[in-house]
Amino acid sequence: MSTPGSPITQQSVQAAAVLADLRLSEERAAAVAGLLAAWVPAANVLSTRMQSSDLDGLMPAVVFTQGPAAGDGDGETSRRTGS
Amino acid sequence: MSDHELLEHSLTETAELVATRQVSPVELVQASVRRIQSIGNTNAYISVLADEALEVAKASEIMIAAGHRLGPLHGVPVALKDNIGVQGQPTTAGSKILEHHRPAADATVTRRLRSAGAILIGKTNMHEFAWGGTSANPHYGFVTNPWDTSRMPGGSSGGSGVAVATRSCFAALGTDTGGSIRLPSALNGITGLRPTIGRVSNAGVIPLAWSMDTVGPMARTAADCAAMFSTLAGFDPDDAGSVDRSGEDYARDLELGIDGIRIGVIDGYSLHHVQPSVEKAVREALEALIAAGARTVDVAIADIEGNISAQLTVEAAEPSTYHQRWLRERPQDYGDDVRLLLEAGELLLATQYLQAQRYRALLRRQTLGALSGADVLVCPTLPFTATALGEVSVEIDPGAPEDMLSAIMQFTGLPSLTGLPAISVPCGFDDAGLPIGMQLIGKPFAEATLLRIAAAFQQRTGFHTRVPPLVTPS
Repeated sequence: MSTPGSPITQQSVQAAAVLADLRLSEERAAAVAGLLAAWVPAANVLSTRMQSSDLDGLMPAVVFTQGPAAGDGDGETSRRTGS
Repeated sequence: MSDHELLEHSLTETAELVATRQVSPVELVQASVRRIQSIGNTNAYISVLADEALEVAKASEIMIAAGHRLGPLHGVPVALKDNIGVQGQPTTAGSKILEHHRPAADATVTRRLRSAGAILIGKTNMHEFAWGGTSANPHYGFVTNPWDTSRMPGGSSGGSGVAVATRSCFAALGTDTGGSIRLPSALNGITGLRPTIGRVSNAGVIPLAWSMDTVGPMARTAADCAAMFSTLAGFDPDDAGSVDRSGEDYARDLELGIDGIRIGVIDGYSLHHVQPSVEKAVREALEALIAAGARTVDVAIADIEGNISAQLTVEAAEPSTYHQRWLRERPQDYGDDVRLLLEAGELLLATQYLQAQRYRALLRRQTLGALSGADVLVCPTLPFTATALGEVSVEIDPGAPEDMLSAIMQFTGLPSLTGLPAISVPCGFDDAGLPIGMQLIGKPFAEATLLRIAAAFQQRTGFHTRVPPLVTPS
Protein backbone atom coordinates (compact mmCIF):
# COMPACT_ATOMS: atom_id res chain seq x y z
CA MET A 1 0.00 0.00 0.00
CA SER A 2 1.00 3.68 -0.34
CA THR A 3 3.77 4.81 1.98
CA PRO A 4 2.74 7.70 4.28
CA GLY A 5 4.62 10.89 3.44
CA SER A 6 5.89 9.58 0.13
CA PRO A 7 5.29 11.70 -2.99
CA ILE A 8 4.53 8.44 -4.77
CA THR A 9 0.83 8.06 -4.13
CA GLN A 10 -2.05 6.13 -5.57
CA GLN A 11 -3.01 9.27 -7.49
CA SER A 12 0.45 9.90 -8.89
CA VAL A 13 0.72 6.25 -9.92
CA GLN A 14 -2.60 6.38 -11.70
CA ALA A 15 -1.49 9.51 -13.53
CA ALA A 16 1.75 7.83 -14.57
CA ALA A 17 -0.16 4.73 -15.66
CA VAL A 18 -2.15 6.90 -18.07
CA LEU A 19 1.12 7.82 -19.77
CA ALA A 20 1.83 4.11 -20.18
CA ASP A 21 -1.71 3.37 -21.40
CA LEU A 22 -2.05 1.02 -18.45
CA ARG A 23 -5.32 0.82 -16.58
CA LEU A 24 -4.92 0.51 -12.82
CA SER A 25 -7.73 0.47 -10.29
CA GLU A 26 -7.34 2.59 -7.18
CA GLU A 27 -6.50 -0.50 -5.20
CA ARG A 28 -3.86 -1.68 -7.66
CA ALA A 29 -2.41 1.82 -7.96
CA ALA A 30 -2.04 1.96 -4.19
CA ALA A 31 -0.17 -1.35 -4.19
CA VAL A 32 2.10 -0.23 -7.02
CA ALA A 33 2.72 3.02 -5.17
CA GLY A 34 3.98 1.08 -2.18
CA LEU A 35 6.43 -0.84 -4.34
CA LEU A 36 7.67 2.21 -6.24
CA ALA A 37 8.05 4.15 -2.99
CA ALA A 38 10.58 1.49 -2.00
CA TRP A 39 12.38 1.43 -5.35
CA VAL A 40 12.39 4.93 -6.76
CA PRO A 41 14.37 6.83 -4.10
CA ALA A 42 17.32 4.47 -4.52
CA ALA A 43 16.98 4.63 -8.31
CA ASN A 44 17.15 8.41 -8.13
CA VAL A 45 20.20 8.27 -5.85
CA LEU A 46 21.85 6.04 -8.45
CA SER A 47 20.84 8.39 -11.25
CA THR A 48 22.41 11.29 -9.35
CA ARG A 49 25.62 9.33 -8.96
CA MET A 50 25.65 8.56 -12.66
CA GLN A 51 25.28 12.28 -13.50
CA SER A 52 28.74 12.90 -12.10
CA SER A 53 31.04 14.59 -14.62
CA ASP A 54 33.74 11.95 -14.15
CA LEU A 55 31.36 9.47 -15.76
CA ASP A 56 30.41 11.57 -18.80
CA GLY A 57 31.95 9.15 -21.29
CA LEU A 58 30.20 6.07 -19.91
CA MET A 59 27.70 4.48 -22.29
CA PRO A 60 24.84 2.23 -21.19
CA ALA A 61 25.59 -1.47 -21.23
CA VAL A 62 22.96 -1.99 -23.93
CA VAL A 63 24.73 -0.03 -26.71
CA PHE A 64 25.70 -2.05 -29.77
CA THR A 65 29.42 -2.67 -29.87
CA GLN A 66 30.63 -3.63 -33.31
CA GLY A 67 34.08 -4.66 -32.21
CA PRO A 68 37.39 -3.46 -33.70
CA ALA A 69 37.50 -1.72 -37.06
CA ALA A 70 38.60 -3.82 -40.00
CA GLY A 71 42.35 -4.43 -39.87
CA ASP A 72 42.53 -3.25 -36.28
CA GLY A 73 43.06 -6.45 -34.33
CA ASP A 74 42.87 -5.14 -30.80
CA GLY A 75 40.45 -2.25 -31.18
CA GLU A 76 43.11 0.24 -30.10
CA THR A 77 42.51 2.53 -33.09
CA SER A 78 38.82 2.86 -32.37
CA ARG A 79 39.58 3.47 -28.68
CA ARG A 80 42.14 6.19 -29.45
CA THR A 81 40.04 8.05 -31.96
CA GLY A 82 36.66 7.32 -30.47
CA SER A 83 35.41 6.12 -33.87
CA MET B 1 19.57 -52.54 -8.15
CA SER B 2 17.32 -50.56 -5.86
CA ASP B 3 16.13 -47.11 -6.86
CA HIS B 4 18.46 -45.68 -4.25
CA GLU B 5 21.43 -47.49 -5.78
CA LEU B 6 20.46 -46.43 -9.29
CA LEU B 7 19.98 -42.79 -8.35
CA GLU B 8 22.77 -42.23 -5.85
CA HIS B 9 25.63 -41.81 -8.31
CA SER B 10 26.62 -38.50 -9.86
CA LEU B 11 25.87 -37.69 -13.48
CA THR B 12 29.40 -38.42 -14.64
CA GLU B 13 29.53 -41.69 -12.70
CA THR B 14 26.16 -42.73 -14.10
CA ALA B 15 27.13 -41.85 -17.64
CA GLU B 16 30.12 -44.16 -17.27
CA LEU B 17 27.94 -46.93 -15.84
CA VAL B 18 25.65 -46.62 -18.87
CA ALA B 19 28.55 -46.56 -21.29
CA THR B 20 29.98 -49.75 -19.78
CA ARG B 21 26.51 -51.34 -19.71
CA GLN B 22 26.50 -51.81 -15.94
CA VAL B 23 23.27 -49.81 -15.76
CA SER B 24 20.45 -49.57 -18.26
CA PRO B 25 18.93 -46.24 -19.31
CA VAL B 26 15.55 -47.94 -18.95
CA GLU B 27 16.23 -48.72 -15.28
CA LEU B 28 17.39 -45.14 -14.72
CA VAL B 29 14.26 -43.63 -16.25
CA GLN B 30 11.98 -45.96 -14.31
CA ALA B 31 13.75 -45.16 -11.05
CA SER B 32 13.63 -41.44 -11.79
CA VAL B 33 9.90 -41.56 -12.48
CA ARG B 34 9.28 -43.42 -9.23
CA ARG B 35 11.40 -40.89 -7.35
CA ILE B 36 9.48 -38.03 -8.96
CA GLN B 37 6.24 -39.62 -7.79
CA SER B 38 7.59 -40.01 -4.27
CA ILE B 39 8.46 -36.30 -4.02
CA GLY B 40 5.16 -35.11 -5.41
CA ASN B 41 4.46 -32.98 -2.36
CA THR B 42 7.37 -30.71 -3.32
CA ASN B 43 5.61 -29.64 -6.56
CA ALA B 44 9.05 -29.77 -8.19
CA TYR B 45 7.71 -30.83 -11.57
CA ILE B 46 5.03 -29.35 -13.80
CA SER B 47 5.12 -32.16 -16.35
CA VAL B 48 6.78 -35.55 -16.34
CA LEU B 49 7.75 -36.92 -19.75
CA ALA B 50 7.61 -40.52 -18.58
CA ASP B 51 6.38 -42.16 -21.80
CA GLU B 52 8.72 -40.30 -24.11
CA ALA B 53 11.65 -40.77 -21.74
CA LEU B 54 11.04 -44.50 -21.59
CA GLU B 55 10.97 -44.80 -25.37
CA VAL B 56 14.18 -42.83 -25.66
CA ALA B 57 15.71 -44.96 -22.92
CA LYS B 58 14.88 -48.14 -24.79
CA ALA B 59 16.46 -46.75 -27.94
CA SER B 60 19.48 -45.58 -25.94
CA GLU B 61 19.90 -49.06 -24.54
CA ILE B 62 19.85 -50.61 -28.01
CA MET B 63 22.38 -48.09 -29.27
CA ILE B 64 24.78 -48.76 -26.43
CA ALA B 65 24.42 -52.50 -26.93
CA ALA B 66 25.39 -51.94 -30.56
CA GLY B 67 28.47 -50.06 -29.43
CA HIS B 68 27.18 -46.61 -30.32
CA ARG B 69 27.28 -43.84 -27.72
CA LEU B 70 25.58 -40.61 -28.77
CA GLY B 71 27.60 -38.44 -26.45
CA PRO B 72 28.85 -37.90 -22.89
CA LEU B 73 25.33 -37.78 -21.44
CA HIS B 74 24.04 -40.87 -23.23
CA GLY B 75 21.19 -42.50 -21.36
CA VAL B 76 21.19 -40.11 -18.38
CA PRO B 77 17.87 -38.54 -17.25
CA VAL B 78 17.94 -34.77 -16.89
CA ALA B 79 15.21 -32.19 -16.25
CA LEU B 80 14.55 -28.80 -17.78
CA LYS B 81 13.07 -25.72 -16.19
CA ASP B 82 9.68 -25.08 -17.75
CA ASN B 83 10.65 -21.88 -19.54
CA ILE B 84 13.00 -23.87 -21.77
CA GLY B 85 11.36 -25.05 -24.96
CA VAL B 86 10.80 -28.71 -25.72
CA GLN B 87 9.22 -29.42 -29.07
CA GLY B 88 5.59 -30.40 -28.80
CA GLN B 89 5.62 -30.48 -25.00
CA PRO B 90 4.03 -27.97 -22.60
CA THR B 91 6.40 -25.08 -21.89
CA THR B 92 4.44 -22.92 -19.49
CA ALA B 93 7.09 -20.75 -17.82
CA GLY B 94 5.14 -21.57 -14.65
CA SER B 95 2.26 -19.46 -15.91
CA LYS B 96 -1.42 -19.72 -16.65
CA ILE B 97 -0.92 -17.48 -19.68
CA LEU B 98 1.28 -20.09 -21.38
CA GLU B 99 -0.44 -23.18 -19.99
CA HIS B 100 -1.25 -24.39 -23.50
CA HIS B 101 1.99 -23.28 -25.12
CA ARG B 102 3.78 -26.05 -26.98
CA PRO B 103 6.85 -24.89 -28.91
CA ALA B 104 7.27 -25.91 -32.51
CA ALA B 105 10.94 -26.60 -31.91
CA ASP B 106 13.37 -27.42 -29.14
CA ALA B 107 15.33 -24.63 -27.54
CA THR B 108 18.98 -24.74 -28.59
CA VAL B 109 20.03 -26.00 -25.16
CA THR B 110 17.42 -28.76 -25.36
CA ARG B 111 18.74 -29.80 -28.76
CA ARG B 112 22.32 -29.87 -27.49
CA LEU B 113 21.40 -32.04 -24.52
CA ARG B 114 19.56 -34.47 -26.78
CA SER B 115 22.55 -34.56 -29.14
CA ALA B 116 24.74 -35.51 -26.19
CA GLY B 117 22.39 -38.41 -25.45
CA ALA B 118 20.61 -37.01 -22.41
CA ILE B 119 17.07 -38.21 -21.73
CA LEU B 120 14.55 -35.49 -20.87
CA ILE B 121 12.63 -36.73 -17.84
CA GLY B 122 10.46 -33.71 -17.09
CA LYS B 123 9.84 -29.96 -16.94
CA THR B 124 10.37 -28.38 -13.58
CA ASN B 125 8.25 -25.89 -11.69
CA MET B 126 9.43 -22.33 -11.21
CA HIS B 127 8.50 -18.87 -10.09
CA GLU B 128 5.95 -17.59 -12.60
CA PHE B 129 7.75 -16.27 -15.68
CA ALA B 130 10.96 -16.47 -13.59
CA TRP B 131 10.10 -13.16 -11.95
CA GLY B 132 10.76 -14.02 -8.35
CA GLY B 133 13.15 -15.77 -5.99
CA THR B 134 10.96 -18.18 -4.02
CA SER B 135 9.19 -20.42 -6.59
CA ALA B 136 5.89 -19.70 -4.81
CA ASN B 137 3.81 -20.57 -7.84
CA PRO B 138 0.05 -19.95 -7.54
CA HIS B 139 -0.81 -21.96 -10.67
CA TYR B 140 1.20 -25.18 -10.22
CA GLY B 141 1.74 -25.20 -6.48
CA PHE B 142 4.38 -23.65 -4.28
CA VAL B 143 7.63 -25.55 -4.68
CA THR B 144 8.82 -26.76 -1.28
CA ASN B 145 12.29 -27.36 0.06
CA PRO B 146 13.19 -31.05 0.48
CA TRP B 147 15.36 -30.22 3.52
CA ASP B 148 12.27 -28.81 5.25
CA THR B 149 9.04 -28.84 3.29
CA SER B 150 7.65 -25.92 5.31
CA ARG B 151 10.29 -23.76 3.64
CA MET B 152 10.88 -22.35 0.19
CA PRO B 153 13.58 -23.73 -2.12
CA GLY B 154 14.61 -20.42 -3.65
CA GLY B 155 13.97 -19.47 -7.24
CA SER B 156 13.16 -18.93 -9.82
CA SER B 157 14.57 -22.35 -10.78
CA GLY B 158 13.25 -23.86 -7.56
CA GLY B 159 11.83 -26.97 -9.19
CA SER B 160 15.16 -27.75 -10.85
CA GLY B 161 16.95 -27.27 -7.52
CA VAL B 162 14.60 -29.68 -5.78
CA ALA B 163 14.69 -32.15 -8.66
CA VAL B 164 18.45 -32.43 -8.43
CA ALA B 165 18.63 -32.43 -4.63
CA THR B 166 16.11 -35.25 -4.37
CA ARG B 167 18.03 -37.35 -6.92
CA SER B 168 14.99 -37.52 -9.20
CA CYS B 169 17.28 -36.61 -12.08
CA PHE B 170 21.04 -36.43 -12.50
CA ALA B 171 21.15 -32.78 -13.45
CA ALA B 172 18.79 -30.04 -14.52
CA LEU B 173 18.83 -26.84 -16.46
CA GLY B 174 17.86 -23.60 -14.85
CA THR B 175 17.82 -20.03 -16.03
CA ASP B 176 19.48 -17.17 -14.17
CA THR B 177 18.71 -13.49 -14.58
CA GLY B 178 19.17 -12.06 -11.08
CA GLY B 179 20.18 -15.27 -9.31
CA SER B 180 17.68 -17.91 -10.36
CA ILE B 181 20.17 -20.76 -10.75
CA ARG B 182 22.39 -19.79 -7.87
CA LEU B 183 19.72 -19.14 -5.24
CA PRO B 184 17.95 -22.51 -5.47
CA SER B 185 21.32 -24.22 -5.78
CA ALA B 186 22.38 -22.70 -2.46
CA LEU B 187 19.10 -23.41 -0.69
CA ASN B 188 18.95 -27.02 -1.94
CA GLY B 189 22.58 -27.91 -1.28
CA ILE B 190 23.60 -28.42 -4.92
CA THR B 191 26.01 -26.83 -7.40
CA GLY B 192 24.76 -24.34 -9.97
CA LEU B 193 26.56 -22.31 -12.61
CA ARG B 194 25.53 -19.00 -14.16
CA PRO B 195 27.61 -18.57 -17.33
CA THR B 196 29.22 -15.50 -18.81
CA ILE B 197 26.50 -13.55 -20.59
CA GLY B 198 26.22 -14.82 -24.16
CA ARG B 199 28.15 -18.05 -23.52
CA VAL B 200 25.07 -20.27 -23.66
CA SER B 201 22.26 -19.74 -26.15
CA ASN B 202 18.96 -18.32 -24.96
CA ALA B 203 17.20 -19.25 -28.21
CA GLY B 204 13.92 -21.00 -27.42
CA VAL B 205 13.88 -19.87 -23.78
CA ILE B 206 11.07 -17.62 -22.62
CA PRO B 207 12.77 -14.39 -21.56
CA LEU B 208 12.64 -12.47 -18.32
CA ALA B 209 15.18 -9.65 -18.85
CA TRP B 210 16.95 -9.75 -22.19
CA SER B 211 20.13 -8.04 -21.05
CA MET B 212 20.71 -10.42 -18.13
CA ASP B 213 19.14 -13.80 -19.00
CA THR B 214 21.33 -16.91 -19.02
CA VAL B 215 20.83 -20.69 -19.06
CA GLY B 216 23.04 -22.97 -16.98
CA PRO B 217 23.44 -26.34 -15.29
CA MET B 218 22.37 -27.38 -11.82
CA ALA B 219 23.83 -30.64 -10.57
CA ARG B 220 25.20 -32.49 -7.55
CA THR B 221 28.87 -31.78 -8.23
CA ALA B 222 31.20 -29.40 -10.02
CA ALA B 223 32.25 -32.27 -12.29
CA ASP B 224 28.63 -32.84 -13.25
CA CYS B 225 28.16 -29.15 -13.98
CA ALA B 226 31.29 -29.26 -16.11
CA ALA B 227 29.95 -32.19 -18.13
CA MET B 228 26.65 -30.41 -18.71
CA PHE B 229 28.28 -27.07 -19.50
CA SER B 230 30.63 -28.63 -22.06
CA THR B 231 27.50 -29.69 -23.93
CA LEU B 232 25.70 -26.36 -23.62
CA ALA B 233 28.31 -23.69 -24.26
CA GLY B 234 29.11 -22.41 -27.72
CA PHE B 235 28.02 -19.98 -30.40
CA ASP B 236 24.43 -20.12 -31.65
CA PRO B 237 23.48 -18.06 -34.72
CA ASP B 238 19.84 -18.25 -33.60
CA ASP B 239 20.62 -16.09 -30.55
CA ALA B 240 21.57 -12.49 -31.35
CA GLY B 241 23.31 -12.22 -27.98
CA SER B 242 25.40 -15.35 -28.46
CA VAL B 243 29.14 -14.84 -28.28
CA ASP B 244 31.08 -16.11 -31.27
CA ARG B 245 33.28 -18.45 -29.33
CA SER B 246 33.49 -22.18 -29.79
CA GLY B 247 32.85 -24.78 -27.10
CA GLU B 248 35.40 -26.07 -24.62
CA ASP B 249 36.06 -29.06 -22.42
CA TYR B 250 35.13 -27.64 -19.05
CA ALA B 251 36.32 -30.72 -17.20
CA ARG B 252 39.90 -30.15 -18.34
CA ASP B 253 41.06 -28.35 -15.18
CA LEU B 254 39.06 -30.17 -12.53
CA GLU B 255 42.05 -32.11 -11.18
CA LEU B 256 44.54 -29.24 -11.31
CA GLY B 257 44.15 -28.20 -7.69
CA ILE B 258 44.10 -24.59 -6.56
CA ASP B 259 47.66 -23.91 -5.50
CA GLY B 260 48.25 -20.18 -5.82
CA ILE B 261 44.65 -19.32 -6.71
CA ARG B 262 43.80 -15.82 -5.45
CA ILE B 263 40.34 -15.42 -3.94
CA GLY B 264 39.22 -11.80 -3.70
CA VAL B 265 37.23 -10.72 -0.65
CA ILE B 266 35.38 -7.50 -1.42
CA ASP B 267 35.74 -4.79 1.23
CA GLY B 268 32.50 -4.00 3.03
CA TYR B 269 30.56 -6.51 0.92
CA SER B 270 31.64 -10.14 0.81
CA LEU B 271 30.86 -10.96 4.43
CA HIS B 272 28.79 -7.92 5.26
CA HIS B 273 25.14 -8.06 6.39
CA VAL B 274 24.72 -11.84 6.55
CA GLN B 275 23.19 -14.21 9.09
CA PRO B 276 25.80 -15.61 11.51
CA SER B 277 25.47 -19.21 10.29
CA VAL B 278 26.06 -18.12 6.70
CA GLU B 279 29.09 -16.03 7.60
CA LYS B 280 30.53 -18.90 9.63
CA ALA B 281 30.07 -21.39 6.81
CA VAL B 282 31.68 -19.14 4.20
CA ARG B 283 34.61 -18.25 6.47
CA GLU B 284 35.22 -21.95 7.13
CA ALA B 285 34.99 -22.63 3.41
CA LEU B 286 37.67 -20.02 2.80
CA GLU B 287 39.87 -21.72 5.38
CA ALA B 288 39.41 -25.00 3.53
CA LEU B 289 40.36 -23.36 0.25
CA ILE B 290 43.45 -21.81 1.88
CA ALA B 291 44.40 -25.19 3.27
CA ALA B 292 44.20 -26.47 -0.31
CA GLY B 293 46.68 -23.89 -1.50
CA ALA B 294 44.61 -20.80 -2.33
CA ARG B 295 45.07 -17.42 -0.72
CA THR B 296 42.71 -14.54 -0.08
CA VAL B 297 43.30 -10.97 -1.21
CA ASP B 298 41.37 -7.88 -0.23
CA VAL B 299 39.78 -6.04 -3.15
CA ALA B 300 37.56 -3.01 -3.45
CA ILE B 301 34.65 -2.12 -5.74
CA ALA B 302 34.01 1.55 -5.09
CA ASP B 303 30.45 1.83 -6.36
CA ILE B 304 29.14 -1.58 -5.36
CA GLU B 305 26.48 -0.04 -3.12
CA GLY B 306 24.20 0.83 -6.04
CA ASN B 307 23.94 -2.73 -7.28
CA ILE B 308 20.60 -3.73 -5.74
CA SER B 309 18.80 -0.66 -7.03
CA ALA B 310 20.24 -1.13 -10.51
CA GLN B 311 19.32 -4.80 -10.45
CA LEU B 312 15.72 -3.98 -9.52
CA THR B 313 15.40 -1.26 -12.15
CA VAL B 314 16.71 -3.35 -15.04
CA GLU B 315 15.03 -6.54 -13.92
CA ALA B 316 11.71 -4.72 -13.55
CA ALA B 317 11.73 -2.62 -16.72
CA GLU B 318 12.67 -5.39 -19.15
CA PRO B 319 10.04 -7.97 -18.13
CA SER B 320 7.42 -5.24 -18.00
CA THR B 321 8.26 -4.44 -21.60
CA TYR B 322 8.05 -8.08 -22.67
CA HIS B 323 4.72 -8.55 -20.92
CA GLN B 324 3.02 -5.37 -22.06
CA ARG B 325 0.43 -7.06 -24.25
CA TRP B 326 -0.57 -9.81 -21.82
CA LEU B 327 -0.65 -7.37 -18.92
CA ARG B 328 -3.30 -5.40 -20.79
CA GLU B 329 -5.22 -8.32 -22.25
CA ARG B 330 -5.07 -10.83 -19.39
CA PRO B 331 -3.95 -9.13 -16.18
CA GLN B 332 -6.11 -11.40 -14.04
CA ASP B 333 -4.18 -14.47 -15.24
CA TYR B 334 -0.98 -13.44 -13.50
CA GLY B 335 -0.22 -14.28 -9.90
CA ASP B 336 -0.60 -11.27 -7.63
CA ASP B 337 3.11 -10.84 -6.90
CA VAL B 338 4.24 -10.99 -10.54
CA ARG B 339 1.39 -8.76 -11.70
CA LEU B 340 2.41 -6.12 -9.17
CA LEU B 341 6.04 -6.25 -10.29
CA LEU B 342 5.05 -5.95 -13.94
CA GLU B 343 2.78 -2.98 -13.27
CA ALA B 344 5.45 -1.23 -11.24
CA GLY B 345 8.11 -1.89 -13.87
CA GLU B 346 5.99 -0.12 -16.49
CA LEU B 347 6.22 3.11 -14.53
CA LEU B 348 9.98 3.37 -14.07
CA LEU B 349 11.42 6.19 -16.14
CA ALA B 350 13.52 5.63 -19.23
CA THR B 351 16.21 7.78 -17.64
CA GLN B 352 16.24 5.63 -14.52
CA TYR B 353 16.58 2.50 -16.65
CA LEU B 354 19.39 3.96 -18.76
CA GLN B 355 21.26 5.30 -15.76
CA ALA B 356 21.06 1.78 -14.31
CA GLN B 357 22.51 0.48 -17.58
CA ARG B 358 25.31 3.07 -17.38
CA TYR B 359 25.91 1.97 -13.82
CA ARG B 360 26.33 -1.60 -15.10
CA ALA B 361 29.16 -0.42 -17.34
CA LEU B 362 30.78 1.32 -14.37
CA LEU B 363 30.32 -1.68 -12.10
CA ARG B 364 31.77 -4.02 -14.69
CA ARG B 365 34.80 -1.79 -15.11
CA GLN B 366 35.36 -1.69 -11.34
CA THR B 367 34.76 -5.42 -10.89
CA LEU B 368 37.19 -6.30 -13.66
CA GLY B 369 39.62 -3.99 -11.92
CA ALA B 370 39.15 -5.96 -8.71
CA LEU B 371 39.69 -9.17 -10.67
CA SER B 372 42.97 -7.89 -12.09
CA GLY B 373 44.46 -8.79 -8.71
CA ALA B 374 42.48 -11.97 -8.09
CA ASP B 375 41.32 -15.06 -9.93
CA VAL B 376 37.82 -15.08 -8.45
CA LEU B 377 35.74 -13.09 -5.99
CA VAL B 378 33.91 -14.73 -3.10
CA CYS B 379 30.77 -14.07 -1.07
CA PRO B 380 27.77 -16.06 0.15
CA THR B 381 25.23 -16.87 -2.55
CA LEU B 382 22.62 -15.23 -0.35
CA PRO B 383 22.74 -13.83 3.18
CA PHE B 384 20.24 -16.20 4.77
CA THR B 385 19.00 -19.77 4.68
CA ALA B 386 15.61 -20.97 3.47
CA THR B 387 12.66 -19.04 4.89
CA ALA B 388 9.13 -20.26 5.54
CA LEU B 389 6.80 -20.70 2.59
CA GLY B 390 4.96 -17.55 1.62
CA GLU B 391 7.19 -15.11 3.45
CA VAL B 392 7.67 -11.80 1.64
CA SER B 393 10.17 -10.40 4.10
CA VAL B 394 13.25 -11.75 5.86
CA GLU B 395 15.28 -10.78 8.92
CA ILE B 396 18.97 -10.90 8.21
CA ASP B 397 19.57 -8.82 11.31
CA PRO B 398 17.13 -9.85 14.09
CA GLY B 399 14.21 -7.48 14.46
CA ALA B 400 14.88 -5.73 11.13
CA PRO B 401 12.62 -7.19 8.43
CA GLU B 402 13.63 -6.50 4.82
CA ASP B 403 11.85 -6.97 1.54
CA MET B 404 12.51 -10.50 0.30
CA LEU B 405 13.25 -9.58 -3.32
CA SER B 406 15.95 -7.03 -2.47
CA ALA B 407 17.44 -9.18 0.27
CA ILE B 408 17.63 -12.33 -1.80
CA MET B 409 19.57 -10.55 -4.57
CA GLN B 410 22.10 -8.97 -2.20
CA PHE B 411 24.97 -11.03 -3.63
CA THR B 412 23.63 -12.49 -6.86
CA GLY B 413 23.14 -9.10 -8.50
CA LEU B 414 26.86 -8.45 -8.99
CA PRO B 415 27.45 -11.14 -11.66
CA SER B 416 24.06 -10.48 -13.24
CA LEU B 417 24.78 -6.79 -13.69
CA THR B 418 28.36 -7.26 -14.90
CA GLY B 419 27.81 -10.25 -17.19
CA LEU B 420 30.42 -12.30 -15.34
CA PRO B 421 30.15 -16.02 -14.60
CA ALA B 422 29.38 -17.25 -11.10
CA ILE B 423 28.96 -20.57 -9.36
CA SER B 424 27.17 -21.53 -6.15
CA VAL B 425 28.83 -24.33 -4.22
CA PRO B 426 27.40 -26.06 -1.10
CA CYS B 427 29.55 -24.99 1.85
CA GLY B 428 27.67 -25.89 5.01
CA PHE B 429 24.42 -26.15 6.91
CA ASP B 430 22.83 -23.99 9.57
CA ASP B 431 21.68 -25.20 12.98
CA ALA B 432 18.35 -26.27 11.49
CA GLY B 433 20.09 -28.42 8.88
CA LEU B 434 19.39 -26.02 6.02
CA PRO B 435 21.99 -25.73 3.24
CA ILE B 436 24.29 -22.75 2.75
CA GLY B 437 25.94 -21.80 -0.52
CA MET B 438 29.16 -19.98 -1.34
CA GLN B 439 29.32 -17.92 -4.54
CA LEU B 440 32.48 -17.58 -6.60
CA ILE B 441 32.54 -14.94 -9.34
CA GLY B 442 34.95 -15.28 -12.23
CA LYS B 443 36.49 -13.37 -15.08
CA PRO B 444 34.75 -13.38 -18.46
CA PHE B 445 34.65 -16.87 -19.95
CA ALA B 446 36.54 -18.33 -16.97
CA GLU B 447 33.92 -20.93 -16.07
CA ALA B 448 36.65 -23.58 -16.09
CA THR B 449 38.40 -21.76 -13.23
CA LEU B 450 35.19 -21.59 -11.22
CA LEU B 451 34.58 -25.30 -11.76
CA ARG B 452 38.20 -26.09 -10.87
CA ILE B 453 37.94 -24.30 -7.52
CA ALA B 454 34.54 -25.84 -6.80
CA ALA B 455 35.90 -29.30 -7.60
CA ALA B 456 38.90 -28.80 -5.32
CA PHE B 457 36.57 -27.70 -2.53
CA GLN B 458 34.31 -30.71 -3.07
CA GLN B 459 37.28 -33.07 -2.99
CA ARG B 460 37.97 -31.87 0.55
CA THR B 461 34.44 -31.46 1.88
CA GLY B 462 31.27 -33.52 1.86
CA PHE B 463 28.50 -30.92 1.89
CA HIS B 464 27.50 -31.72 -1.68
CA THR B 465 27.04 -35.40 -0.88
CA ARG B 466 24.39 -34.98 1.79
CA VAL B 467 20.87 -35.99 0.82
CA PRO B 468 17.70 -34.25 2.04
CA PRO B 469 15.69 -36.10 4.69
CA LEU B 470 12.78 -36.28 2.26
CA VAL B 471 14.73 -38.82 0.22
CA THR B 472 14.99 -42.20 1.88
CA PRO B 473 16.66 -45.33 0.50
CA SER B 474 14.21 -47.68 -1.21
